[in-house]
Amino acid sequence: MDSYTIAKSFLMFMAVAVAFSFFFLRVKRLYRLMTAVEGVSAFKLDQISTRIGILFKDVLGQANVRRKTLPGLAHTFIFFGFLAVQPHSLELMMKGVCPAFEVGLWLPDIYGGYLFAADILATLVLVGFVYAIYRRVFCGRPT
Amino acid sequence: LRPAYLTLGTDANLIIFFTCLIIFTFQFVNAFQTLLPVAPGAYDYHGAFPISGLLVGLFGLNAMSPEGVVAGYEAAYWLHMATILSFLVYIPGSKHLHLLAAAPNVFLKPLRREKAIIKTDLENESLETFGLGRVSELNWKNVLNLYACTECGRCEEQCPAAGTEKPLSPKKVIHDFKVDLLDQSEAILSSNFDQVKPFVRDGAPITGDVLWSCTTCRACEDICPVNIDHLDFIIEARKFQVLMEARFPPEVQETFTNLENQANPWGFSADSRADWCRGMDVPLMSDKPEADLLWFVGCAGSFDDRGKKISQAMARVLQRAGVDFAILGPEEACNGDMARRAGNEYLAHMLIQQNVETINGYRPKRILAGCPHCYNILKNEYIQFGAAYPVVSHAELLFDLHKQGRLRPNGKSTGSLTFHDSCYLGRWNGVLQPPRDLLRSMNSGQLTELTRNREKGFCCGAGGGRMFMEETLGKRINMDRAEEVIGSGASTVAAACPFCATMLSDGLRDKESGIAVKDIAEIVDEATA
Repeated sequence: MDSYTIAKSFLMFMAVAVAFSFFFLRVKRLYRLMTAVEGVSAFKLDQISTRIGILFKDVLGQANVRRKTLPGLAHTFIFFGFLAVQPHSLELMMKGVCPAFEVGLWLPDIYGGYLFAADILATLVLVGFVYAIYRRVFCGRPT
Repeated sequence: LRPAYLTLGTDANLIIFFTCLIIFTFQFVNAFQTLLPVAPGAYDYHGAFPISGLLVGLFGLNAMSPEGVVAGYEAAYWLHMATILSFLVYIPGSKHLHLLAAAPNVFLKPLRREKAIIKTDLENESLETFGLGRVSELNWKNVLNLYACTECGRCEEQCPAAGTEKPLSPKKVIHDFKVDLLDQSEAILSSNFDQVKPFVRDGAPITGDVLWSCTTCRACEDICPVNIDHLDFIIEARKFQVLMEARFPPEVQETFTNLENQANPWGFSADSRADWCRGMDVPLMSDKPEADLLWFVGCAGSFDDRGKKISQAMARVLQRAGVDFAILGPEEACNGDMARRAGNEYLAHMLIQQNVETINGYRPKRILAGCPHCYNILKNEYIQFGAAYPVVSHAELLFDLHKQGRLRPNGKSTGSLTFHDSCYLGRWNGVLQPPRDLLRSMNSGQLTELTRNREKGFCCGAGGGRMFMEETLGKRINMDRAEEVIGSGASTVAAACPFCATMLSDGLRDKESGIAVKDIAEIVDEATA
């Protein structure tokens, strides 16, 4: 391993450790705040299977967001595009820390299919953003 | 000409910048990966990226030297990683916290459309305060709601108050609660709750005008893509203002006094509650306790001149259909809806308990409500006080009677007809189709929809106790709706709520329009006479 690769590996390790530590500390504080408030909720968790169905339909399926067709479609593009990018970005992150990490060789066909799809979906994020910016700059208030 | 509800603050701009940069750098990393020499035993990225591969030709990357390709890859890589890791740190403090909170908030959402105001335990002597006065008094579910909001502005777009230049924006209320919560988080996390300042305070964005502008129409909750319960904040805040601070619009004091003394908001003698049906042979429950249907007439239907005509029409229709019904008459008190939504939980409990005792004394088979506010509270909130009976709205009952062949149209048409959805019938209880089917049946199949209809129906401005408050800020909500009714080209607008009928009539009169406002009971009465 050359000195650049060693330095890159060290820097990436530090950057990942610091960023994730900050992230978890901030999320932990928000969670603590959520549970520290005095009010009592009457909420009772029930109908788990129905709730899982809602999660699939409204969050993964983006059905709630798409009740407004075009903005909903733009959000769906951004949502799925961003989701699709994450595994490859995570892989690159791992590869930065540990250059020998080579996920593509485990299941090359599936990996190739994923990269192909992720590359297209990533572009759809930009399409979604172009529409979102257009809407914020040019559209009028619906009557 | 950006829509007012779509804000582009620093937070939003940064998020757009971060995300676009992540995608651009991702695609450049991909593009350079296709040009890097394939190390032995490594994955070959040639031809792996259909879009990023185009960047190679587009930017002439393939003309770069091998060293240049490596340098380009490393530059794109570091920029990509720096952006992703910065975004990761930025998310929890930004509105994009919804990336983490939206899914749990949706998962934990109320599964029923119908909802009840939270019952405050006024008998609990250990409680030092009632309602919501400080962010520390929120519960975990409220806080999750705050975290889940992405400030998309759909609530503000639908809100009748925000749309008529009132100071209320549901989006801003949620945002302001969140900011106040985070600002006062040190005191909350250290359990120094007495150091937490009230959210309605000098210079704070949540003011009395904000809280009292709400008509409780639930358009915000219905449209919210992450299922935030905006009303849980507003109504609990009103409770605190009324019960703990005695702060509310001054004109409401008279209404509260009337409700307390005469059990109706106008202060008519409670004994005269059944005067509207004098000479109509309408039985009282006290005379006919075994009646199939207890008709809870409501205050508007009993005392308001316009409402009394609707009740008379309804009584004629029920008699024509041969329904075995009776009313409570002087035994009936206001249902408590106005007091409860105006934050006077104490007065609401008093009225509700009075009715519950009366109703439980008769144990009716079914209760009919001609007013959606009565319908909603009897159906969804009286259960909190020990009265659980099947409740039917007059829209549903009349359509059922028609389907059974007990109400036959006489073929006379009302002319061009449109329908105004009552919030408490439609959005609160999902009764959207029966009034439409009924009106079509009674009007030779003709019914025109208003632009904002069904779940997106626009409030008349009377809900949440607003019927008894002055509307001095912005444009009057009923004028906005009246303009829409005029724009529909209909000659008659049907309502299914006496308060909606009054608000629409006032709005149309002020617009000098000749459009008639009729309750569906009046239309059925005319169509089956």
